[in-house]
Amino acid sequence: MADDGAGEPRQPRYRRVRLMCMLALTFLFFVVEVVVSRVTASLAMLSDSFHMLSDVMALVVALVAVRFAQRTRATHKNTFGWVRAEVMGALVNAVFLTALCFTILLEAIERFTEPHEIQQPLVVIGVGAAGLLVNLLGLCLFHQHGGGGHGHSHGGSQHHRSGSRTKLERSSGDGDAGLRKEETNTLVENRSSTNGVNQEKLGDCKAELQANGSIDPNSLDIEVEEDSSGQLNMRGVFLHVLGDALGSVIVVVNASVFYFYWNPCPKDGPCFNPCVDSHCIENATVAPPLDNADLLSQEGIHVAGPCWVLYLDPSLCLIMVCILLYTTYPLLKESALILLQTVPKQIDIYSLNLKLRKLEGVEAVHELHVWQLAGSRIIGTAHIKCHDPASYMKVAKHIKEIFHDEGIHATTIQPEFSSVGSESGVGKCEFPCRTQCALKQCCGTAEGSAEKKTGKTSSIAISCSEIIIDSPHHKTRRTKSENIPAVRLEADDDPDTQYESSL
Amino acid sequence: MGRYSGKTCRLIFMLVLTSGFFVAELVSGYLGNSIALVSDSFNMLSDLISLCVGIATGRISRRARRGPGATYGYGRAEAVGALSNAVFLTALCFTILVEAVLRLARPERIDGPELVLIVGALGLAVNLVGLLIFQDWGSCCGRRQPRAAAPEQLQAVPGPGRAAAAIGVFFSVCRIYTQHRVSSLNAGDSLNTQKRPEEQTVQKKEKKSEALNIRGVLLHVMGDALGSVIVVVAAAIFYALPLDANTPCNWQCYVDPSLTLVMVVIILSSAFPLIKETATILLQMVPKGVNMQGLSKLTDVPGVSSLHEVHVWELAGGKNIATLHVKCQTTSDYQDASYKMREVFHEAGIHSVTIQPEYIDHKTSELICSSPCISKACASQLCCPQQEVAVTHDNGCLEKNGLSPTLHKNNSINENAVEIPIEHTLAGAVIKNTDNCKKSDDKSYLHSTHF
Repeated sequence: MADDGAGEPRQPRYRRVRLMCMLALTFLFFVVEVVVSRVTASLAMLSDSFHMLSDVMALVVALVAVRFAQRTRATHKNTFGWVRAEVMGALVNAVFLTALCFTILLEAIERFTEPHEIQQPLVVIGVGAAGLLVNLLGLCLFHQHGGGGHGHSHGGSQHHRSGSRTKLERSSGDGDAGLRKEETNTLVENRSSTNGVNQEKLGDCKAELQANGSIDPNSLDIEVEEDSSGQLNMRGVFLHVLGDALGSVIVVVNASVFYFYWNPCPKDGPCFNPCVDSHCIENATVAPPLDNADLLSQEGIHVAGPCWVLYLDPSLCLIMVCILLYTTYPLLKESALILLQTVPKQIDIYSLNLKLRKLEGVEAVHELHVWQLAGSRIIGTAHIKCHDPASYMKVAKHIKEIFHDEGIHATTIQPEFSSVGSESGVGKCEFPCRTQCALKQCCGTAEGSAEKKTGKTSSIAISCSEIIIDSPHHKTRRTKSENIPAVRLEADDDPDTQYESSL
Repeated sequence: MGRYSGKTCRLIFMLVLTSGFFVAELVSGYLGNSIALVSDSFNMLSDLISLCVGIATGRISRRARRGPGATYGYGRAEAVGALSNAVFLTALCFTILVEAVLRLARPERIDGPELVLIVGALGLAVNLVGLLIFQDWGSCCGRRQPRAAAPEQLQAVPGPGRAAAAIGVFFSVCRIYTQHRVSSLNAGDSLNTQKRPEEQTVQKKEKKSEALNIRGVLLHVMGDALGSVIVVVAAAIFYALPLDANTPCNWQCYVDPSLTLVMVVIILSSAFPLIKETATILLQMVPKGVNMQGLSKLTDVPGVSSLHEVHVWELAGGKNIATLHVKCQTTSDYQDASYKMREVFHEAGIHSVTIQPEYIDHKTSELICSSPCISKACASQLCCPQQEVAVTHDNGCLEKNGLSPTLHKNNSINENAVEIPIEHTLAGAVIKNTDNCKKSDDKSYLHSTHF
């Protein structure tokens, strides 16, 4: 039994604690930066402090999502509980980060056209370094369990493979992008590091599915599955903090380069600033022709320092934006795919359908839907057509097993019996709503007479099962009935048995 | 995939207009050396991005083909796109807010107010055109008749739009052209459902949800319009009351930032409802039009002993889906009950229902699912936890309280409570079967689906 007898599961609490620590720290630093900027009258410091504020907002979003997601039970408003909140929090954070990148990009472009000098570079270096420290602390905070967890998860998975446990390891994405893979590795939170070996573990980079039917009641652990969706949420936060850290690095680098290489115009005396030509700078009291800089310096008129220094800032910003976008895009894509209710990557719908149809007693399968609620909670529904209730009873358990093997543990199977059905064909759903509701059903409609089997996909009648059952060489055909007598293994696309698109 | 509707027409038109104006503003900003113009042109760029997102998600969601990647199709793409647009706008508002605060701390005057005034007015004109184009989605969608009949289409140009009659005519032409290719979804509607008021309500709901996409774009356009208004007002003030370079900033310099603050408040207050609405869809919440209490009629259906794992959610565009498990005594019970239950759902507006029958096994409580997954270890991966905080008894048995939403039926078979608890707190009080230890449950798992 779950030894986590305490009411509150540990993982979300750890996450909350860390988020709140980071939140407090960041907000504090934001206040410090604002004060310093007022004292030193530095505009750059003030605008940098608002980057911290955006970090604070991202952390708040993540915190709210974590709080919500702990309520996994059904309520009046949401029959699934609020587990999905973390996925949505990840999406919001990713979009937020993209928007920030966009504004940084715009600022950088403006800086290219109108370079700014940095006022008081020493102060900027100091505060920038402090900000970098805060951000590195944050990175460590959200990295913390990752390193150990990663090691544990691999070791643990070896152990579990030999054990008699059923577990599901959900990949957090393609694992293609190397950088992303690294990040997701570091975000794996693994309870086995805290609770010993009787754990169910999740959230590694590769998707592994191990079906092992033996039941081990002692190993039941209720709250571990949330790791995968919580992981998405943490990834969003991590990317924000990473962006901020990169920003601080750029600030420090830029300010120090500026400090060492830039020859500023002295406060008094004539000065010429060749880098900025069309606007008046406070110290540029002379506007000589551009190619006489050397002449000028010989004449004692000071020429402001090398121009490339001014362009360092926007170029570094551009690089940072590219890095951030590259790392944010996978997170965006993944959370969007979950919210769109696509089939999880590790599940092959075709083969699932095939396995179901192969079962003895199953005549047809339609309305097969598989989607991911959040994390490792995958939900499936199907309508199974059998000959009569007795034959359904025989296969019911096998059907559940097939789903279980794929990692789909929450299923709703609706049996339909062709013996009690009317003249409808094998492929047709026995229990559609009324005919006029056809348009409001989730998956298109099958108007009884209007929609005979045609060769093309019409816009009305798009049955879910149709596309799924389509074998590759029959892409354009509307699937017909899976007329499977008990022994036949494959559904032949028999032109004669062209039934309507099943509902 | 080539299904065009008036929506896409408008979006593309707006896209072309906005990009043209963006380029024009950028060029003139560089030529005239005005930073204000350049930064205003970047506002247009954010508009462009939101339009692109709107068009892209619109096309994705209309994709008819449902491949192995998505069993429900991509209808939700519009909701995701609308959420992205709203969040994007919120983030932009945040940066605008920051700049306004900075400006309040350090006021600056506007140089060259004439140029700014002219270009600002042009930008405002472009944005107003956009607002007019999209305004029938911005306002309440229910006011208009669903587009069922062609003659109605022609009159569908909204009232105030008559001021922009040329554009209105253009779009009605657009709509007539697309009418021939419009999905027979709408045609089917017109044929069958003209007489049924309830169906029309559903249609309106559909339109409203489909319009999520457009609403996201509309928010951006509105934000941009407000920005242009502020630019025009501030530039007009500087034009009418010119400020020398030498005099310090007076109240005139504070007009711009303070109006910007007001604008941010307005935009945020209109973005949040959109975020809430998309959240309702994306978080699988119970759709607004569905009353969970109303579904308690399900327990009155004869043959139904109890229900559990009731889930109701909206896919997108008014399509509601429900799944549930029902416990019956016999198979014939189930078959009779199934039809009647669908009637109840139909009345509630839910037309895609999947019902899993379970037959009563006297070893298990009525409230517990007889056929969750095949092994205990999966409990954490079920969509909804079957057990609460582990209430362990002395003998180590775990009491399983059916926490998935459960509806009880008051009949002689069920000696448990009578009420209809949806929330877990009540369910916990109901179960009295202390003999439902795991051992018996295990057995019941093996036998529950057998009759």
